[in-house]
Amino acid sequence: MRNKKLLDAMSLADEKFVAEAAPKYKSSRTLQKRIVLIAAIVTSLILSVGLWLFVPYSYVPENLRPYVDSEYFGVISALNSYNSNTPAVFLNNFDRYKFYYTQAEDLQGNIAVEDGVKEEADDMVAELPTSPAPDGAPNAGSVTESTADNVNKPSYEETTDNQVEGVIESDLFKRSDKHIFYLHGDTLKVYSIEKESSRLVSSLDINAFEGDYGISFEMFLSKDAKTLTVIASGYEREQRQTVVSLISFDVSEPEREISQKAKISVCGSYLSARLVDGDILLMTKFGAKQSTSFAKESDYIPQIDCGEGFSSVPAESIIYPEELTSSVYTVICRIDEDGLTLKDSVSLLSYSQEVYVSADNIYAARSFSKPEGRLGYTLFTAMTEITRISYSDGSFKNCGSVTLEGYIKDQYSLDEYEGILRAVTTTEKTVTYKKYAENLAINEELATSASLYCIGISDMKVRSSVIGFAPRGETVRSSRFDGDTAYICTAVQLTDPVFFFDLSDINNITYKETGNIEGYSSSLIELGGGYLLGIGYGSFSSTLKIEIYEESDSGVVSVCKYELPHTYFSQEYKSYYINRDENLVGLGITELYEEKESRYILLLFNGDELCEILNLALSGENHAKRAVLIDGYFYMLGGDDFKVEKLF
Amino acid sequence: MEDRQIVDLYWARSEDAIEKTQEKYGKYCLYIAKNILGSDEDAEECVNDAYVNVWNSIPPNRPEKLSAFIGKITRNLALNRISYKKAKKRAGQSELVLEELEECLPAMQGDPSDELLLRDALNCFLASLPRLTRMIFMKRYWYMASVRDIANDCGVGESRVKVTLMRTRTKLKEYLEKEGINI
Repeated sequence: MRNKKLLDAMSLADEKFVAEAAPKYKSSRTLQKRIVLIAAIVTSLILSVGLWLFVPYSYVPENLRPYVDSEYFGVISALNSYNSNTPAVFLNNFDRYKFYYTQAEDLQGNIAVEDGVKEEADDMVAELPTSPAPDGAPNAGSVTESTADNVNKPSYEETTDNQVEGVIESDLFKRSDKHIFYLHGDTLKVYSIEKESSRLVSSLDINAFEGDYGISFEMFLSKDAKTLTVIASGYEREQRQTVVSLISFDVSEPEREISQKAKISVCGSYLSARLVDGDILLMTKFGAKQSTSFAKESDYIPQIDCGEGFSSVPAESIIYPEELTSSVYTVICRIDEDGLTLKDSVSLLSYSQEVYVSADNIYAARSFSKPEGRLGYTLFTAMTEITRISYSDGSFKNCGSVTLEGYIKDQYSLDEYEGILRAVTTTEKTVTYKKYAENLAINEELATSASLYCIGISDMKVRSSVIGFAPRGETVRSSRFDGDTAYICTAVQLTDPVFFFDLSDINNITYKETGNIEGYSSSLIELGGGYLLGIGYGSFSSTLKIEIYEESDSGVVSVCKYELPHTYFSQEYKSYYINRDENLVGLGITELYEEKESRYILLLFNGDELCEILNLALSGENHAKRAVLIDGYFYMLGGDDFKVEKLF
Repeated sequence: MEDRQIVDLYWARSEDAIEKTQEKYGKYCLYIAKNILGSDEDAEECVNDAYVNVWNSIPPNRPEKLSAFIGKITRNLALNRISYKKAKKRAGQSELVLEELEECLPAMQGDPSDELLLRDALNCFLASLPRLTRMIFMKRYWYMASVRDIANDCGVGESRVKVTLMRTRTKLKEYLEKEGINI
């Protein structure tokens, strides 16, 4: 066949043509197609997810006409204007989810939503003792019936070193003359006060009353020591946000029964609380949602639940400045301690900083920046507005505001005394473009410092001030007022001067200082007798330094100090044991090296030196350790430990 | 392994030579054989025979492109084997190819051309074709690949393959007639 010969002749084709036409195997070609397809799908997915995560939010102002007749129209307008002019709290979805994930971790793993329906816990009873503890051995793990005499009525004994006399601060540690109450995480523990025979007599899981999950913060004990009010945070499913609840318990006979009495909840996060003349002043923070249609009040108006469901606070109780600098409220509720009934409330919109409570007034602060246009850049000055809310006549009343330069560190930066509000601020300026900071003149202007103001509370106007008294670049680390005297510690890193201010004549304020001392005090405490106690850091940030100062003719001098290297301690003031009568100072510490043991130390100031009289192991976080001296015995609590040591 | 190294194994009479050849060109030879013979069994037998032929051919030969060398041997063995197969259905693509090539044959014009002349003419013709056309033609008439396989390999539709083959066959016929080549 000729065509067969042609077929054979094809064998004569050049090798290069044969190689050129060599087959690509079906499997590799198919694989190649699949790889391309998968790559295309993956790329599309990545692009889609990236767009969803990183496309920035934008806020479109809502038409407010539907809300004109609303009692909250003023607040709505202010929030709408603020939201329009302010970048979104979250830049995009990635920013939002990253924040919530971080916040969840910060709740120390206590967040856990239980499945199913939670039953009401109104009638829950504390666990009864099951087995006696060994005699003479205080043991936090065992429970036994108390042998104390229950005929005498218990009475409240103060354990917290309150800033203002008569204004009791909440704490996780309270006591009566017969029992010690201690909040360890979500568990309330009650111990008998029986010297070496002291023991755990009852424990209660606060979580059972809290809702889906909760964190117990602090508590109050009533004057008759019969009512314990716990402040706890939980998650409210219906409101889809955190709430702060006050839950009161009958602790008149804690060995027998601890039963719930009442409960009140406020949406938001816990700020602080005070107990004054049988009324609890509860201060919380509530953040209005930035992306809001204003159709749902609970998104932008604080909510309170008095037992009949959450409802908005009255519009007339909301205070806000002309121009908002924040969409966060400080909500202050006045609550009757006995029945947890709401007596009054005030909500300060745009306020989210510290709150100081004196015997008659509440001072709420808000920080903002004041811009000043300069050639080529903008200078921002940190400012603080302080609003006075009086409460002494039974209801809250807005009594005006004052604006100061600088920002406030904490509640101890404010003090009311004989009609004058004293305030200590750290002054700070920033610029929009860093390159201008290279200019020496601007650098000088940008350096931080500290200022002291005296404000007349009747009209909230500055009567006198000492501006920039701290060395340039230093910030306020601690402050304390004691009558006509103010003690202020400033520092830049690890050197501090301590200032003693004489405020007896506010029109002629004078001060003395120590000069630079190694380290700085994060807490200043007046000890009485002209002595000032400083607790803070030594020459290294890992060194605990406790120092006593006194005023001399020429200045302020250090009397003595106690240092522990390689030691961690808490800056929580309430964790310090301060006994001015016995000149005792106690606090929890953690060794940073070797066995990293958690301990408690107690120092005695004998007028010349600080002597360590106790140093023993005590478990738990330093900020949660507490101690008290009762009839010569020193009771210490931390973690699962409860220890009693005879001192005198 | 490079072709040169495999050829060196043959020259060294190393038994690894066939193993390396099989690793590198086993699928290639099987593809050629199966396209012609249509049967897996026959194709495998043919490929095995091809290995023996290569072993016997190297030395004295020292091919530069081992793929073309063993590909030709495999193809020729397969074509020889097909002569003895009686059932058309088991003949792979060869019968179809033969029928198609019928169109390429010029009219009888005297004595058959010698092999050298045919080879040169064929290669000149192939060189004149566009690359894709040439590939399609070679895949069909050298590798005996099916139209579908050719379409998949070249990333074109089957219709295009068929049209290309038809036109190229026509061109080959005209070319062979012009060159005065008789088969």
